[in-house]
Amino acid sequence: MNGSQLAEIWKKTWSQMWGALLVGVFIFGLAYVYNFSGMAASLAKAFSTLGVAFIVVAPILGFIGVALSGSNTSTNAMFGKFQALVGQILGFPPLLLPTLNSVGAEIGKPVAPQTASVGVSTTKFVRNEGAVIRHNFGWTLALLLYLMVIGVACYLFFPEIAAH
Amino acid sequence: MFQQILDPTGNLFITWLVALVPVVALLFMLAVLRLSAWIATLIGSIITFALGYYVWQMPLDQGELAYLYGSATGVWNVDWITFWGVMLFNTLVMTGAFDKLRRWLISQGTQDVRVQTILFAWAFGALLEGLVGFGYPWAFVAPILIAIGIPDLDAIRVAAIANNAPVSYGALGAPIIALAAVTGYPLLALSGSISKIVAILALLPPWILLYLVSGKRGMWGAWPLAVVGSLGYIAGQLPVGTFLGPYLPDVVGAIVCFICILILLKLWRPGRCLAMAARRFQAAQRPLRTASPAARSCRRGFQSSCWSLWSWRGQVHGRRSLASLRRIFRFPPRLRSRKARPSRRYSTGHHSSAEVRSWFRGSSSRCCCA
Repeated sequence: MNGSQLAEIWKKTWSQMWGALLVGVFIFGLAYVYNFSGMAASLAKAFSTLGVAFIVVAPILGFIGVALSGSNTSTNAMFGKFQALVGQILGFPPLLLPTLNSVGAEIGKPVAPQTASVGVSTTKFVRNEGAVIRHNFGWTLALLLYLMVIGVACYLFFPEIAAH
Repeated sequence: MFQQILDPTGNLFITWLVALVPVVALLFMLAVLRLSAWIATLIGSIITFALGYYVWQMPLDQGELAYLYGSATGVWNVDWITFWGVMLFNTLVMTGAFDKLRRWLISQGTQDVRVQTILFAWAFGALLEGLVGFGYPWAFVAPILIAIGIPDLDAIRVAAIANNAPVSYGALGAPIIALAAVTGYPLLALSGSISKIVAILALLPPWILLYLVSGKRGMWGAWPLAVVGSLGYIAGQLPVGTFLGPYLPDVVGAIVCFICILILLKLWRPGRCLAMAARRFQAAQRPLRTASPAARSCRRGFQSSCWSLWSWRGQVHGRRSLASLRRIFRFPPRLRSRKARPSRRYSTGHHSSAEVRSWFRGSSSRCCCA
């Protein structure tokens, strides 16, 4: 390692990361305003009318969030507070719904176009993410179902893992 | 003090629709209009702010402070750590350390496509996700799998499905840090609760991966790989996630998984080597000396008292066939020469796939007993 290599790494990292760093700034501002203004609370109030069935919906929301935005971090920032509030209204173990949101978001990753476009950049499927996403979709849904079962089982049988 | 209004429109359904507008607008801009993420989040911020001001009657000055506070949280909690994670990763790539690790791992595994799948898609993918995320695990892992002989689209799918469970700890735990920041719950408690759910979730993907590369029979024939692969990752991920926090579970999980699989490979190898994937379980070209792989693995599982004897036999057996493999497959000289200089070129694993391919040349038509 020498100075010029370090400079090159620095430059390369900046050119890779500046977009993601800006997203970090804006999405958190957006999320804090969303939570502070009361929109998250309104959304939580409306969703809480689903009752206990919301436990199945929580991972789906995370899944949709990441499938469309491509970022688990952004999805957690947007939905985290709202999921936590629904949990408080309905009396779920406090950490359960945010946890399911985050893990549901993991599962949506294989069908997120933003992730796929980076992912296929080294193969011959460049700019053909659609085919890749369609190919991934079935197994991703299978994993989502598995997560719903885990979520329900966790709520019914071992809620203490999501206790405060 | 500003009091939040729960139902500003007077009708809960309409409030619900309006509250969803920022979310839907953001997702619409990203998924349909395909705007750059930073532009979409900037426009989304403006929409959110306007709705908060006009509909939810948020005071302007406090709203601005909330936005600034959020942005500062984003910079300090997430940007700072992900930036240095990528710096670390780029340094590893630049100095050739990463490539060395990759080569060493390929040489440790057998030619069996299932072993390479678990080693690379599962464990190596988790390591990459833990350091960088952003789809880089696919970009790195897919070319390696393609070089082994898995059809392109399936290789990408394997890399993508393997990159499921580790995502929450992606980029040094950024998603969990974000979750803790917005919910106000303690970071360690959230990390612990997620690591437990992920531990249950992680039991499944290695089986899916084996099924995807080698079909049902191939999957059952290599069941120890799936068991050790998932339990190895969990053994690293769960304690770190529960007791240390969200920063390193993926990295530690991947390293423990590597160690467990390499130990497993000293004791056991898949009965028949699946050199080519695509759900074709090619019959071995010469008759097997012992029973079918499944029967042999079961026997080993149950007869723990004979474990050492069996493993010793397996080792001798494995070594002999590895020697013959070396003759057949012409290992690249770089792997053998000790003075080999690591590649200083930047890449995402692309340049090396040709080398790997040449190394595995002929393996698609041959099957070996290892």
